[in-house]
Amino acid sequence: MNVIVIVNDSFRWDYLGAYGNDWIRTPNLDRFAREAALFEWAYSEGLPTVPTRTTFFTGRFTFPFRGWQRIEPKDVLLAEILWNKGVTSALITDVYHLHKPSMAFERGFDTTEHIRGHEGDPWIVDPEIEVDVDAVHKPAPRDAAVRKQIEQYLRNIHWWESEEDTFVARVMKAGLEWVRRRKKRERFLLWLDCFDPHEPWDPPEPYRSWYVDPAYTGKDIIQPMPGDGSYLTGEELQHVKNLYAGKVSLCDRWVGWFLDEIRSMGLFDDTLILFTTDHGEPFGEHGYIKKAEPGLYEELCHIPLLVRHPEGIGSGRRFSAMVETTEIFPTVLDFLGIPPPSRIHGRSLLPMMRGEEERLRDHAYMGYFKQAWRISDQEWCFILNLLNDKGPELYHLASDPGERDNLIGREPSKAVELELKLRQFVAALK
Amino acid sequence: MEIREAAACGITERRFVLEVEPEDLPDVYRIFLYAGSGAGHYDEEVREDLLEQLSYIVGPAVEEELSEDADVSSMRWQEDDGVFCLTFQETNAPALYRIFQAVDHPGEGFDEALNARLAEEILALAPSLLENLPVINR
Repeated sequence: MNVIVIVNDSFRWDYLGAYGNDWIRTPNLDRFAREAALFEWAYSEGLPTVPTRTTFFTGRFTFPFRGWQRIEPKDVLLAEILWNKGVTSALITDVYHLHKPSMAFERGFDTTEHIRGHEGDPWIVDPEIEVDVDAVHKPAPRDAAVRKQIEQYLRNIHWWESEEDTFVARVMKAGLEWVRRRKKRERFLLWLDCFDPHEPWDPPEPYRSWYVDPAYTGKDIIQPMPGDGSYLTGEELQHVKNLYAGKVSLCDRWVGWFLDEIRSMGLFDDTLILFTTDHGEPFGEHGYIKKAEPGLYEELCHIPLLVRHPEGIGSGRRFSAMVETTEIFPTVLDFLGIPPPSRIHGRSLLPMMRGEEERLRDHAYMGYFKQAWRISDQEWCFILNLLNDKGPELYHLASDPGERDNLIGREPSKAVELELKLRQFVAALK
Repeated sequence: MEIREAAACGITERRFVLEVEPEDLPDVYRIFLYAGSGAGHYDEEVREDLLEQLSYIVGPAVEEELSEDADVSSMRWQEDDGVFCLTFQETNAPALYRIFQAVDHPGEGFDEALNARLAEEILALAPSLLENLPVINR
């Protein structure tokens, strides 16, 4: 029995056909979703990129305790638990934040492979490689750091010839190579952590042309400035979204290719396969683009989560329970028959998939460390902003899924009830 | 005493924090004082450690010229659960690097006003730790 976890960074749940999107082509993931258990109300517990990996690898709620930082020496990590249990583990990733000095997220894995060069990864530093930042960037005040990142990125990819060179393709190909080379009798955990469809949004053809408006005559702004987005015209912002959609389809193509390959190897018969992300991507729904603010809205913290069990358990079912990124760690161990450490907070999804329980907890809890916390269920969402004078927010998700109408002044008792539950939950965490 | 990245994803520029335990704060304070006035003494190993950590964690950008986008007013000392933290953005890292270098190369891009403000801020945060330090004479 094996486990494969596929993470595509910054993958909006509502940009996936299986979750109801009707304008982006994701046929491979949609097909996979039909064979998998689909969790409709899955959330990312600690945001953004690095804290989510901490959650993945520790199975613990992190948002009240730590933010963007390295793994701590006392952490008990998923891959470390497997080291003497007869399970070979591999981390193959292009998420360069995990590979930065002192971060050490590869700790415990038997094999690690870092695909270098995404976003601002200082990989190819030859200044003689000429790149044209202005071709893909719209100048804005105080954009020096973003310009520098784009310059680095263009240098990193200057050698690309086809979509096989894109990051998601390279991670998937490296993953398949590792699967093929492994010793056949070993059980394994393969963690494929792709930074795509994270910006820069530069999908190759044909994915770009599937979505961009042929009448658009502006630049491909591949890495817009985080912020209120007002420096972009409405047409430019739509174009940015279309480029992102192209990258989503690129990811679908290569994740699908990988899944087809391992299916043909017979691994679908004995391997638990999970697909998820760390968070979504704001595109102006709440007045800003990218993660310029620690806004805990649906477009950021609601995530896709698909779990395919080799015996068909939960196959084709849609689960409405509140689940979080904390659940992945114990689900992996549960499937492998290994008891989880006592300190984890997450719970295995397998009993729910088997129909033995209906829910794990009444609410989902998530946050940005020291900036904002959120509690929500299928009906209500309460956000506690800790950083500034923004004040708390309350939304009735059932009637206002876009979280447009803040009811904090009109539903005071509901706000108090949820804030109390949120604070009690945090206080009880150990 | 540690410099670490504190945020980097989806924001305009990377953020860092220099975290200093109370017992190490006098050593850091002495560097700021010496950089500003040339008076007193400092521990060279501490200074070298800070320079190395800046280069290691932030990257070679620390040795570049200060960008026009740099806004050093956002650099602030704060106390956080008993640890003293200086937060700064990537574009401000060269300014901090120049402060730690100033004992060797005074005047080379050294922001005297910034140095003075940061020294005053630490003192205001931790007067019981830093007042009456033997900074002039060992």
